[in-house]
Amino acid sequence: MSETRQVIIQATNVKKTYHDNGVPVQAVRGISLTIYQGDFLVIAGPSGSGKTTLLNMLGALDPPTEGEVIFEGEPLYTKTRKQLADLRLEKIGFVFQAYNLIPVLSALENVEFPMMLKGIPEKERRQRAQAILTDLGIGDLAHKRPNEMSGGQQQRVAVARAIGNNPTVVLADEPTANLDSVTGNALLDLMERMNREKHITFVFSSHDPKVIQRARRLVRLRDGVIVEEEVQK
Amino acid sequence: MKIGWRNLWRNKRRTVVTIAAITFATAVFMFTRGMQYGTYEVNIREITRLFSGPLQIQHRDYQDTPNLFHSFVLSDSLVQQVTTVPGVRAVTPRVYTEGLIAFNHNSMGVTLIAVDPRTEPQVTTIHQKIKQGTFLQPGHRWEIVAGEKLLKNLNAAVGDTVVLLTQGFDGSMGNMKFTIVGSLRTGARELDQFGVFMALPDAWELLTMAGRVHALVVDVDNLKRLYATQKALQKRLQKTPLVVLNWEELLPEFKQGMELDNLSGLLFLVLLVIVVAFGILNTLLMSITERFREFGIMLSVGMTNERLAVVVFWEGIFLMLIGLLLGVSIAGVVNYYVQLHPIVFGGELAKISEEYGFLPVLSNTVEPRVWIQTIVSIGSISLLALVYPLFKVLHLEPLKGLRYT
Repeated sequence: MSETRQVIIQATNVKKTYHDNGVPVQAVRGISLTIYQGDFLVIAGPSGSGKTTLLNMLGALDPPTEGEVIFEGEPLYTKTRKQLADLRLEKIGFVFQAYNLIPVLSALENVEFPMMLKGIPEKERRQRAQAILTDLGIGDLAHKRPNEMSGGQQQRVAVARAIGNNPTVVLADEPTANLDSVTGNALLDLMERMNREKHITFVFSSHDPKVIQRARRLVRLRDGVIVEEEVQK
Repeated sequence: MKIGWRNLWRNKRRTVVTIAAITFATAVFMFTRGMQYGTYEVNIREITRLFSGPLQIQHRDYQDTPNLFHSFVLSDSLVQQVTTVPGVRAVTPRVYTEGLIAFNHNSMGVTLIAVDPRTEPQVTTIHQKIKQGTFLQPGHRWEIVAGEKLLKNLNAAVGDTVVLLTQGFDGSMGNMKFTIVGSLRTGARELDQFGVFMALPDAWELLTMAGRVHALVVDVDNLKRLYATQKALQKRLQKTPLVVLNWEELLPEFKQGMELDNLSGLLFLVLLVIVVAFGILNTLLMSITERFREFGIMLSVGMTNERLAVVVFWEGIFLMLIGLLLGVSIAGVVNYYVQLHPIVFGGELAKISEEYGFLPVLSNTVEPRVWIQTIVSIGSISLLALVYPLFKVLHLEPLKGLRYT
């Protein structure tokens, strides 16, 4: 790993404590991690190891209880709620385990949604969204609603939505968890291609071996701490 | 707006129920308010046309101290002065006093009302309320028309001769024999039980007050311009000891009755509006809470809470507009129909109505103030019901939304 690569996110000794019915639960116990431009990084670990919590803290969704997250050189959680929303809109794409598409919108409109929030004119965003869907092999499903699509198709739409605004980084939380192995592999092929061709940085949280095998950087978590970090390819 | 509109139809049943609640409230509000205003209008029109007239010119002290001396001379020039004021349609003179009526061994206190049989029908409808016999005829002397209940209590009938006894203008006691030529049924208790009508010349002789009257009853072209006409008349009569009183000043108890009825109607409407507000609030909250996860997605991909609140606001606005539109459309048709075909009721309801000085009739109206009050009231309360759901949306955190089950 070249240390001269541009740093996108730097987490320093981040900790997160939740309160479950008044009982404090330490989900992340002090993690320092740097994400570089072009990374294809997998945060692996068993359930409850703190993967999703870490991903949320990196993605401007959940402030750490302690520690600091720097995004492109600026502290993340000193920003206002609106600034954080703008940052998510401009710089971060999310892919969730449960697809999390907006059910009342068609595939095309779901992909357009962040573009619309960004203020891209309707004609332009429609063309862009259609082009992305076509690129991801689901151009013919543009006018289908999420409930008319399979899980794999929905997750492709979720990827299309995540990359629609040309984000700096895509954070994918267990993206293959609800997919069969063929569909999961196809989706990973797609994201690898995006990473390779469009230089989009991907950070996954997963315990799926398919995903872990593809990682170029692998970070293993257990009980809220990093237990292993390796560069696989 | 687009997302707000689509969200409405995701749960059709919930949307239909909410719209139905708003529609129902709007229609009931507009119908009730319209019925109040419409019925008041009919009562004011009919009651003033029946007897009091919309305006009366009186001696300035008569209203507070009604007696024979607080009268004025009826002159052609005075009538000319009054009838040439713009808005005045017709005038008729009157004399009022108290007296005693006697028939066989029965006698009773009565209100004597002397009218001009030629001009009275141009101003009031009292001549149309004859139950039996005829109304007073011009030129006929020593005839009276009396209330139906009065005749019943007196055991007298049309054609009988009665004696009227009263104090005259000069202090003497006047008494004369009169023939009953007609009985009246007006629906107004004071006239039906105590009213005796006679011609002015007979009253002037009985009361020794030739040429003097207590009131000039004035009818106007347009009731909506009543106060302007009253003001113009008062200005015309400013150098005289006469005052111009409108129906509200002439019939204060009737006015108070209407105000009381209006208040109780408003109270009912306030309760209705509060119930509807909670209904709307409940539906909106349910609709928002069950979409917390979806809202979480929107927030996580970069939507701000403020923009999300705008989506929810539009949903509320669409619900409100559809409900209001349907409600005012339904009520508009019903109100107009009832205005054209007033509901006349009888039996106990009619008696109760008469007890309170109202006609036993329910009418309605489609005048602008009914539409405006309905739209403003239901619109405001619907907007108010949106405040808490919007507050929840404005404070929703993306992760809490995403994790909501």
